[in-house]
Amino acid sequence: MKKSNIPFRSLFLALCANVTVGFFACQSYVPDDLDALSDDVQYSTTEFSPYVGRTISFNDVVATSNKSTLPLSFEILDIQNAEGKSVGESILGKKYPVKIWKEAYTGEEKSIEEIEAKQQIEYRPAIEIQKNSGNLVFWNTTSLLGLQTVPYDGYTMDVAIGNTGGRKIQRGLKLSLLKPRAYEPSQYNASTGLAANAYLWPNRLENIYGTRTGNFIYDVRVYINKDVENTRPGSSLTVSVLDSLNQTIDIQMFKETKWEQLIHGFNHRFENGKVIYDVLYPMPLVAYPSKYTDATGSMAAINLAYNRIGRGGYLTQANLGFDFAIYEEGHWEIQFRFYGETPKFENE
Amino acid sequence: MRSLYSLIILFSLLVTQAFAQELAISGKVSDNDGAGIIGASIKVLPGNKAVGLSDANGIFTINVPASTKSLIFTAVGYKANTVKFDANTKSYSVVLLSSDEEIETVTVNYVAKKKETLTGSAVVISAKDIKDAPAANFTDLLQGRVPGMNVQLNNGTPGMRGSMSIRGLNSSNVSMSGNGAFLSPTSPLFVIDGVPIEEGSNFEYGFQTQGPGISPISMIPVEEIETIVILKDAQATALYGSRGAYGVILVTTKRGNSNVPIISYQSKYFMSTVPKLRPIIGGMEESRIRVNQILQYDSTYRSGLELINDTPWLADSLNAYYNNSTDWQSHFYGNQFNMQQSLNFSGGNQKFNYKVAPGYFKQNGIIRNTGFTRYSVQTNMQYRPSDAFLISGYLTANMARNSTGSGNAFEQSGVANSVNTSSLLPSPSIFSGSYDALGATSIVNDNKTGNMITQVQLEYEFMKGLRASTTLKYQYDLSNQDRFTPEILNSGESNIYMFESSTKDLYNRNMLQYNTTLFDNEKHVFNAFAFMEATTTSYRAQAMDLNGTGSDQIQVGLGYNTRNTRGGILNNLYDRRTVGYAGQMSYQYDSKYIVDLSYRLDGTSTSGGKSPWSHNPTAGVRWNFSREELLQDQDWLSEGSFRVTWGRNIFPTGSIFDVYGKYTMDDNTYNNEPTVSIDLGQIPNINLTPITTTQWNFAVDLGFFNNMFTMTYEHYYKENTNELADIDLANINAFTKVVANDKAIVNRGHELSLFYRPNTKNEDWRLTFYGNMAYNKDIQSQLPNNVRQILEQHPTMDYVTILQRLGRNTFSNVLYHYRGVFQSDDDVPVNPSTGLRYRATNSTGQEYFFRAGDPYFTDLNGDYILDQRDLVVAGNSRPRITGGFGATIQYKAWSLQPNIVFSIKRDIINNAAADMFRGYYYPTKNPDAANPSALVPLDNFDYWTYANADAFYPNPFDFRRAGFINPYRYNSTLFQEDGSYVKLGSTTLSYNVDRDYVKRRFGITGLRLYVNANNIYTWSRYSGPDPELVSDLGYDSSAGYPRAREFTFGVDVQF
Repeated sequence: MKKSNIPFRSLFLALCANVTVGFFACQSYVPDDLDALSDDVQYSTTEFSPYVGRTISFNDVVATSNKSTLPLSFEILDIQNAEGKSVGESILGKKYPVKIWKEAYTGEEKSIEEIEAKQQIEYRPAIEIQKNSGNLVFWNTTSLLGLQTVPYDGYTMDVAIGNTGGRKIQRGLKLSLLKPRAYEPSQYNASTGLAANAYLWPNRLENIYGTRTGNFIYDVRVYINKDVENTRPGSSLTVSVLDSLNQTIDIQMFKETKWEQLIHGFNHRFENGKVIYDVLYPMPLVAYPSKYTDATGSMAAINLAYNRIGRGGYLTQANLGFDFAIYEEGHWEIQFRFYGETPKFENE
Repeated sequence: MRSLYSLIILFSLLVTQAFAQELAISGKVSDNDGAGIIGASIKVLPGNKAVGLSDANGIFTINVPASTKSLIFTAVGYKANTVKFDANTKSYSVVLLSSDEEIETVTVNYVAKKKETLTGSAVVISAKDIKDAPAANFTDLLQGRVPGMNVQLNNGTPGMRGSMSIRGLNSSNVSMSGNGAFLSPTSPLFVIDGVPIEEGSNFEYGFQTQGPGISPISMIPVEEIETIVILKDAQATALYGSRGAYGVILVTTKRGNSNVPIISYQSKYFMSTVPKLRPIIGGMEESRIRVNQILQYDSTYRSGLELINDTPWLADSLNAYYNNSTDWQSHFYGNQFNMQQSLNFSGGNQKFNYKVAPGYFKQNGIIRNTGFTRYSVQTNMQYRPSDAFLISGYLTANMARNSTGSGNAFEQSGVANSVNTSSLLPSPSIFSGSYDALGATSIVNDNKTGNMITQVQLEYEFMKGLRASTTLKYQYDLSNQDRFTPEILNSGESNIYMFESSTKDLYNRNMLQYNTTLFDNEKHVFNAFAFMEATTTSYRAQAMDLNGTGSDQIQVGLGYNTRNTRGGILNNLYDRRTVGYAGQMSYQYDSKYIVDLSYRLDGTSTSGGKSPWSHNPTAGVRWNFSREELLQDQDWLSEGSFRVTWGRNIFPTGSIFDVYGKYTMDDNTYNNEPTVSIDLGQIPNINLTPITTTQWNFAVDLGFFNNMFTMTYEHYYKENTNELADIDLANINAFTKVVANDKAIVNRGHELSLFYRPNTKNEDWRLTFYGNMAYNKDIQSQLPNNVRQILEQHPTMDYVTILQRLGRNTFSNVLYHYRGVFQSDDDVPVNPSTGLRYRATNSTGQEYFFRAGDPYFTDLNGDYILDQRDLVVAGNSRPRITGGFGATIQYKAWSLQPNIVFSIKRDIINNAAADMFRGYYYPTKNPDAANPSALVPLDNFDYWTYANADAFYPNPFDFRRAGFINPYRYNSTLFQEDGSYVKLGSTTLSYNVDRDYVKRRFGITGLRLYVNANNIYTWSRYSGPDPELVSDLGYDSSAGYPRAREFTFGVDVQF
């Protein structure tokens, strides 16, 4: 009987060995720990229409969904023109100097130098994608690229979205650039570039009465002009008011105006009845609400004011207000022209 | 039932016994110390026939056949001893050695087997080792005893059990409703005295249940347990079939085994003491802190003054309660004195034995108005007129009453809110408006849970080796709740809530078992059995919620406000059936090579019609290599074996409505007739199958130097597939979602357990040390719709985000990464293109921009906006390593049993600490709570102020912006801490009074006195109250019930 040991034992050992080998050799069905990249990650905004020559960022444009691992990485692969020809190299390959912020602009800065110290000039491509958020930044240097603007069919952009778990390419993000508009509000149509009006209108007109009729003045026209002949270094903003005969009204007649807070400019001086500030453009510098801006912070707000004793012996406060933004550097002038009437500054 | 008994008794009388020529012998059976052993059973060989028992002094006088070769002496708690019979010797003195740690046979898969022949993974715990700590649930006592069984006592409510799981995480499903996120219950199957007990998943944590929330498992008195066996791998649990997938816990209760009836009485008196509560700032100091905070950090001085003057309890100095200081914690917490009494009356021998054991357990919670009381009677009897026939019956009746105060079984949110009330408010009374507080202590909450289990077992051996048995169990669980909320606490309308539920469970198993040796050779042992089992379980609950009864005084014969009142049958009723056929073949050669093969076929009523049956094969091999000739003579190796098993188990899941859909009554009528149509919320899925667990187990058992040192190492790979997942359907479909088997997780782990029993030269000393450790890694291996990741936010608690990603641990903490404090405004990063500072949320209101003193959370995607896209995966909320170690140190009659448990590598979110800082968010009125919160002293924390800019914690006082910035958000790595702990758990010092002395002096046969301390001290780096009091998803549950320290004095008397 002793002999029968062997087959049983070897049989058993073979079984054991098999099972053990099977145990260690069997393929693991445990998936690797990779980032997840879901099919539904995509740009939720698929057409971008920035104005050429302005620094604009598009935020919140990617739908990440809860099925992908963050952070994702984004990269612009190429840009094609309307004919399908690649122009990516000429756009993304060139770097231009742009002013970037190193420190936060607060609105409390006391001089141009102080603001400039918070900025820094860096060379960057005119169109950038934020690496991990997919937000797009169009720097004001887009004006240097010579890109075609609407009504041109537009450019298309291919963006790679990925993480360690995979990579997908979203093709055909559309860039429909709008014609440059150096200031807002603007009388120029964004698509055609044609002026719909000759002038703009102020935002606030209160208690301004005419000398001639004594009636309330409602026709005030605003012109924003750049003095291209002025070659003085730096930038300035001039605010002036003209009467119905296009004669300058001394702006100091608006005696209640808070000159220090009219705009975030410095060294304000009165020349020829106008007020001139040394400033930095764009204005407002940052879309952050401050005492120089409207409530959203996206527009600078100026307010000219005076008071006088009106009819019935009441002291009335007159206001002339205008909200605007200027995106180009240079010597700009905002001119208010009273049309058909001249405001009355004297008491009744 | 009665007729069945009488039939059997009648039948047994017919069995006659033949006697051959006999010799009379006598002697004494004694233990190590020379004391006689009562009721030792004596059998003769050959024939293995029982011939008698020893008496109360261990003396026996028996007649044995002349052909007898040897005598076998056995007694419960002792190792068997075989003595050579010599016809000339008339008197024998037999010593039986105590079998403290060794339990030789284990009942696995309903069949008793020698431990050395098991291929599966089973851990045996003797109740003797754990019974001294007071606990309503025996499962709590297993903490740190079983490698691979993770017990976390995360709930101190009396009568509730902590969370437990065997071999890692068994489900990746989380229910996110109400105030919490909880793991899907994955309770192991409890088999009590051979029959599965229906626990019902409702009782898993006791939370979110209507009604008392007491599990039938809480109803088993710990003193009546003899042994507990924990089965972990697929082979061991193979035949428990339709619920064995999450492990099986076998419990054997005590039975009578003494010719002389034994009465033993156990009495425990224990003190539950309140753990250290947090310090609170009170009175004038609190009011000054609030005023200063407002004046320093309000937006303007004027606004600060206005806020103070608008807050009478800060400004009204003429009020009698001005600068009041109420200690709210003292109103709710208090030390409690509790007791437990149990009596066990038992007797009998191998032929017939019986037991009646009434017990009483009372535990008042350390939170007022909570408590648990259990009354139990356990009886069993067994009659075995011959070796061929056996009948046993069990009858267990238990009743429990508990009160959960104003909370539920898991949470005491009412108390938590009230304790967190400013000390400046007057103490609770109906005039001070502190209704939460009053509610916690004065709501009448009376819960009763009853349960009755009856069980009959019959066994008959038709021919040698072929044995048939049948088991029938009926279980009835009943629970009801009556809650009365007085008028003043319920917006002017008194409320009565009544709940009643019942579970009925009928179980039957018929088994045929065959044992033989092959080739007429004792070395080839063959064993096979087959059985079928069937279960039907039904559950039904109903509730009534009456508002506006007559008055607080009228509590019977009620009228009520009918418009405001609801009631009826709750929609969680079920009626489930399962049926299973199973068979196992086992072959062993010379106890060296063992092969087990089994197969089980399961049908459940919740499986879809397409695949009603699940096929579950298992296989296991064992090689006792120490018995090989080569190693047999080696002294150093006394035991050695390899085991490998593979197998599959299932767990029924889903409900019949998931499979077949549901018809509901429509909201509208058609032609004024009510109509019924199919519920379009969910499409029926007839492909549903149960959850399937596939498990590999690889084990090595080693014993050295005559088992002085033994170790078991096991490695497992466990895959839980077919877990249910809700899949939303595209909105072009009529139905909104489908429930499908579309999720899976994998657990892998290592388990090590060690025993060391040094041979001491001195007989007075006896030492045993044990230690065990389990490492588990759970990995998500499948997600619905084949996605790789799901990130889900809790619907109401927006700081709880759950990430499940393939290849990762199943539950990761998803948090904001805390980098420190902005020392000054200039430290805040600026977006280079827009010039804007880093801000919380997309809003550009100035209060959202970060400033000096604010926390710096990592901006993961670099868009200078802190939002949900910046959450990082920061930690693992499940413990990686769990285990315990301890010892039994005996010196003469003294014995000391310390036990230490540990959990290592777990990240928990200390929201208790977050709440301390968040108490300063609202110096006057807290919009989220009825009352302003208590203030905790922050002196020990290094937080930002203008003077201390280089700090670790952000500025807690900037209350005007706290709502926008939320500096102390719960889901930040600032509060993620290492939750590892080592806890000195139950420790017992006992003294066995000398038997002869107590017998002479008091006429009792045994007396044991002991003191036990439980939950004594925890070593942990965790700064919160208790690293164990943590929800399964890793959040500190401050609103939970603190765990009391318990000190017990106990007496065990045996008559």
